[in-house]
Amino acid sequence: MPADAPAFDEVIHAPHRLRICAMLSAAQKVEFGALQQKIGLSKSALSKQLSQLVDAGYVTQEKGVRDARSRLWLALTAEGNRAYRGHVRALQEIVASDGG
Amino acid sequence: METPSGRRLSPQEAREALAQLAEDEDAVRYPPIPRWFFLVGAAVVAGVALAQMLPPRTAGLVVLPLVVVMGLLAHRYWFNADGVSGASVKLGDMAGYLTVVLGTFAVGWLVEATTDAWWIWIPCAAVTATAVLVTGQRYVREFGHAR
Repeated sequence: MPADAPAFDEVIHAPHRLRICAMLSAAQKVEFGALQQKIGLSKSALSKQLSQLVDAGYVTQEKGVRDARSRLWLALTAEGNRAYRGHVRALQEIVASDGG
Repeated sequence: METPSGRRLSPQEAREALAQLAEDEDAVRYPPIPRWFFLVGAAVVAGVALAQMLPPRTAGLVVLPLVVVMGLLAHRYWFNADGVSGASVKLGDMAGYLTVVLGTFAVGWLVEATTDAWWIWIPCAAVTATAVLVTGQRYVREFGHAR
């Protein structure tokens, strides 16, 4: 199967998890607080969504220090990136099918 | 194509989802950047253009620190803005800007090499600095500015 073959992914299909993957796909790492601020979820709700992505092997977590503050950094794995790209391709196919 | 829940997404729903994802990606890829960043950028490209009027060795000594300073500022305020590490820029989004700036330099080198018109670097500096300022204005309008 090609790297970004169109396919809906069960794990990232949920809107918030899809949005998390979109943000993580645009950088090497994004900090938990920044993700929370951009998506507008509570800490516990974001943690819940992230743990499902981590369990699926789509996201990795890493604790680090920046500006003298301890932070939790999140990154999309290669598998997560592949699943996200495939999901986006599936959405694009639906849109394209509408255009004739 | 069916979703994991077995429901078919309508083209309109798919379109809206894609628009949201693009917005989310951009929120990370293009953080709010201070306005002064673009002023410095304009001064740097103008400086690089004007340095072409100097002897090659001196021009190199002027250009190198300018490029290093701009690189460090971009590293801090763009690619590693607060809460983000290693934001990836889409080359396609910068195509217009890069075409104008690199195209202007190409024209400058061509004109100078074929006519010895050293003064060509003055309008080149003005054009490239304007391109940075216009791009910065559009960027701030679309993605906001940081303090």
